[in-house]
Amino acid sequence: MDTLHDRLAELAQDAPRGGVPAAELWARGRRAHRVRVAAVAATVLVVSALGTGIGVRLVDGDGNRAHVRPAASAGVRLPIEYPVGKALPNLGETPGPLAAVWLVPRVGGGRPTAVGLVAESGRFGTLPIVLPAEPGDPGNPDPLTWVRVSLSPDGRRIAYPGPGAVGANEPADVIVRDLVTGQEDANAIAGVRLGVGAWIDATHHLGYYSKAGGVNDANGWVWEPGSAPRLVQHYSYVGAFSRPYLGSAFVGAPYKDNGLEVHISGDGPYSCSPPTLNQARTGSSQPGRVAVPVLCDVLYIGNEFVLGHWKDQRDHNRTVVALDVRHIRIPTSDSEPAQPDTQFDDPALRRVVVTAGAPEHVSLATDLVGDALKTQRGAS
Amino acid sequence: MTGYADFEEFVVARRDALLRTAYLLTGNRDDAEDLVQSALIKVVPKWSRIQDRPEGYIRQMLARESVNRWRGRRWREVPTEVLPEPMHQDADLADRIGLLEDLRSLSPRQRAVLVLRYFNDLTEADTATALDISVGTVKSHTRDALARLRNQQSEQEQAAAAP
Repeated sequence: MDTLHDRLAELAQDAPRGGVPAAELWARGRRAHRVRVAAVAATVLVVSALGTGIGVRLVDGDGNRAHVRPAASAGVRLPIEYPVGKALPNLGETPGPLAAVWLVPRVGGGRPTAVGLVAESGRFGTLPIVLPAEPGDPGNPDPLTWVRVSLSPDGRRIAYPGPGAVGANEPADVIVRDLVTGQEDANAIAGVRLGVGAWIDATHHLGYYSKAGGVNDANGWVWEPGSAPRLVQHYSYVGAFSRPYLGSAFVGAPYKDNGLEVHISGDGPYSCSPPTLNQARTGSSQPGRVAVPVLCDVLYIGNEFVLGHWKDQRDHNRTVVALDVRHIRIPTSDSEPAQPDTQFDDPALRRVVVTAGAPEHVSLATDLVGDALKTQRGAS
Repeated sequence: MTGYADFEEFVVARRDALLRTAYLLTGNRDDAEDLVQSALIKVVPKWSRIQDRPEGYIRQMLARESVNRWRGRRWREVPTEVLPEPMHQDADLADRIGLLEDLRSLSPRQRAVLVLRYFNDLTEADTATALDISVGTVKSHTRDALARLRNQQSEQEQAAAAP
């Protein structure tokens, strides 16, 4: 007669197998931990604030209370406008978390300048980083075709191709800079050409790599602070994250949706350059595509904010880096006034607004901006 | 985060084993998946501290969580308006169903003790540590659970032998 162990082992054969990918479990665990830490920090802040308030009240009386600054970044307000043509200060090696980064191409080609918006102060300035040079194209108002600077969702880190890179699939290495400590890591994998990447959360910088046979959509690499970059199977790895990442699956793939054509010319979520202003659905309706709620320069932050950037066609000195597009419709021509667009009020009907023009390739610290805007209980 | 590679390796290698333990603890495939997934997510922040002994730690989480989560209720039973048609069952299948029913009749803690002792082959001391109870309690739960299983098996055999 079988032992109880044998019978239990036999019964256990009916157990399910497999499950959610390990990367997703890891990401969920990390997120849950961050939420717990944030909750504890918030509790400590509230308790500290209460304690401070009580202490101040005891010492100074009710009429002279200390002002406790909100935890969120006070400098982030919508719309964010770029002071075109003004001389900007150098932000230095440790400007602190940024709300946004974008590129200013140099007339006639050369190395573009990276401009950042400091989250805490709302100050604009240039970043002391050396980007690769791109040849100028007098006939093309957007000469930047592949140089990118990507900002992590928490605004703390930027990643960009090393100055020796000479093409979209030929970067010598990828540099990641911590904007709080100033520490810089040059990431490289021997024998592998790392492509320009994007952040899929605060600590995962992901991109493609190319081998002798060229770039394959499955060839991904990922870098996390404190570790060496490693190669991953791109789609299975990305699928574990809630944050969408398009990558080069959309490179050069113009598609029509509801009669609107969108051209996606780059290799990251920050590089949509349609020839005309358009609205387009996300790529979720495309067969074989990953359902993504975000495209290109337009970012969804939670379920509350949609940010985009645009260039005022009537006033070229006014460039909006980020604005809340929930309640407005960006004019599609010079003569058309901005008007309310209620589509953005219904999450199920939200559209992506894709705009042409400068500033180039804006990368927004989505988590940081989202938290700040939520704290302000609204925007624009 | 340097621990991810180890975590991934562990999940790939040992998740099915954890699922088998969880299935015996819960008696339900969905609950087993839920239990294991929750445990794996919870250990991520602690991974650097437990990566030299993750399986024991996670098994302990499964056992304790199964007792706490399902305390006060029986294994999940799905109500149905239509009785299933009786079908031919082979002896092994009948034994598995019988054992499942028997385990259902135990309390969550009795079941956890039985699974840890007789499926995972833990000692009484290790079982006590895993469930945060005394060795004496492990002994009494084991004794009671085995007696109950024997009685039920005996009743089933008598029922089967009856004309």
